[in-house]
Amino acid sequence: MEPIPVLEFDSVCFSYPHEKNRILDESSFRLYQGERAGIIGDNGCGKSTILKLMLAIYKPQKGKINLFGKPVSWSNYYSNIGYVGDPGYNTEQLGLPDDIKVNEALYLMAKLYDRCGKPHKIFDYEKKLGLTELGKRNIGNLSTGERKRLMMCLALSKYPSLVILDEPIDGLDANIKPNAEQVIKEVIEDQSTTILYISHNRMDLDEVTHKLYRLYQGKLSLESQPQFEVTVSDEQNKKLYDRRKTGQVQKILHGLLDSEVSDFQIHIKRV
Amino acid sequence: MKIDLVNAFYVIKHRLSRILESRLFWIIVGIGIIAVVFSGWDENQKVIRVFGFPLERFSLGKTKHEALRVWFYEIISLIWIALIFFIYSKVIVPINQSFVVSQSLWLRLSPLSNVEVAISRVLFIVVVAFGLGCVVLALAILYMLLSGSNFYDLLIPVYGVIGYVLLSGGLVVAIPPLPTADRVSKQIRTIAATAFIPFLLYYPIGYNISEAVSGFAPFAIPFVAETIGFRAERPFISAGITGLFLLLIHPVFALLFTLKNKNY
Repeated sequence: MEPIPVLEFDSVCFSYPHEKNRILDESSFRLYQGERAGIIGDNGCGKSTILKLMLAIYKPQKGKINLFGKPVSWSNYYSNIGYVGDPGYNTEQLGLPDDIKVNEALYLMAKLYDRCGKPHKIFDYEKKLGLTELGKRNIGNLSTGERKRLMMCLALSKYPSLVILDEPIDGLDANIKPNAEQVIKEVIEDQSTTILYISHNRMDLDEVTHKLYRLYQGKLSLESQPQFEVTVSDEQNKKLYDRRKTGQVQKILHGLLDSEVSDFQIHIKRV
Repeated sequence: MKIDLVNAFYVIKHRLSRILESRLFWIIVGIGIIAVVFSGWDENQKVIRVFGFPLERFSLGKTKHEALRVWFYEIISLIWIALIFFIYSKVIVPINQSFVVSQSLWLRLSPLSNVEVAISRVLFIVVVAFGLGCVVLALAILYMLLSGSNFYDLLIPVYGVIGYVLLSGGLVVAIPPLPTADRVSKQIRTIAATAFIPFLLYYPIGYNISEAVSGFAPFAIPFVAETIGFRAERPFISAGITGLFLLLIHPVFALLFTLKNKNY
């Protein structure tokens, strides 16, 4: 029996009201448990619209979207989804409330998980993400980076089975970035977690994903890329990790490859 | 299926805290207490006195109990006007905003059920309505103790404030806006719910139609009790019941949706 996809887009067509351009045009993809998929595309191509569709904030004009084997609906609640993205306040944006203090929000969520008997790491991540000192501030008065840290804490501390990362590191201060990356890494290391990572930055996706979709002019296509496997020690891996951050590894490999090959994926295997 | 009222209470706890932290709320309560404490009946001159000044307009041709009743209703009507601004900003707008995507998504991704979130909205309105009703009731008891007024004469504004909050809140919660509705249309809804509908119902229904019908017309409006000869209990209670009915629609629909889609 074929396993049920965690997330399924089946021939989905969508365009915003009063706009001719189709954001999604007969787009399909499936994500099974434990898979890590990335969606890459230019700014404004509709990457975040995919999230709004999968959370039923918008309805597709054609096609179907299933989450955990059931059609998505605005009235469905998904405690097993962790979403980190743009914590904006405009009407249609995904995000956080603005009439509650940081410590109230964290305490409320911890209380709800405790009452449901579900494990969480809210207070652990609160410290790691530097949220303790923001405790008495109203969420509506936080900066975008601070709100994103709170969102990350709420989303990733609950052992989610599906994690949606929409450019999660963008906008974070340099001093908090390593901790945020560490928190994301902890979640990614859990092999049973399904991950959908959305970014315009290829390098962020290479770190995490098994397969990559490109969203271009409404079409979602699976990227075919040259794949490289490099076996390294822990020490080498650390150096390589630092260099990949600055794009040095890509530059070196570009030199070795045919100059027409611009995109590729590196799988790092540790000894 | 899981429905936990304690979870619903946790969701509204911070909103209730904001109300108790509000300076406007305590200023309104303070003004109410001062007005009640410094009002009284002058038995010699048969007149209501406030801070020692006689209020003949509220006393002429009236017995002691009638005059005290009219003056208390006047105090609460003035407080009620101030409460309308307070209720709009601290109750109706937050409840209306709670349907916006950015405000509700985080709860959709929590272990709450949609029924619990719906109940939390209703609970918030009901707690505020009866909380403010208790404040007015406390003022009525204080007024009765200080002025010797008849307690049952002072209950009409208690029903009025409770009915007003339930009707306004019910109007907003019963017909939730589309998640993608723009801010302007959301603001228009809240203003209609707090400022117009509970008032306008009085004019076409309460004022002109025969007594038999208007007796149960659901309106909740300050200053009106004297005009209609202090027969406002029934319309105010009727407004409260209508509000409660409207409030119940939201969790019932959430429950039916959950059962229909077997989302449990």
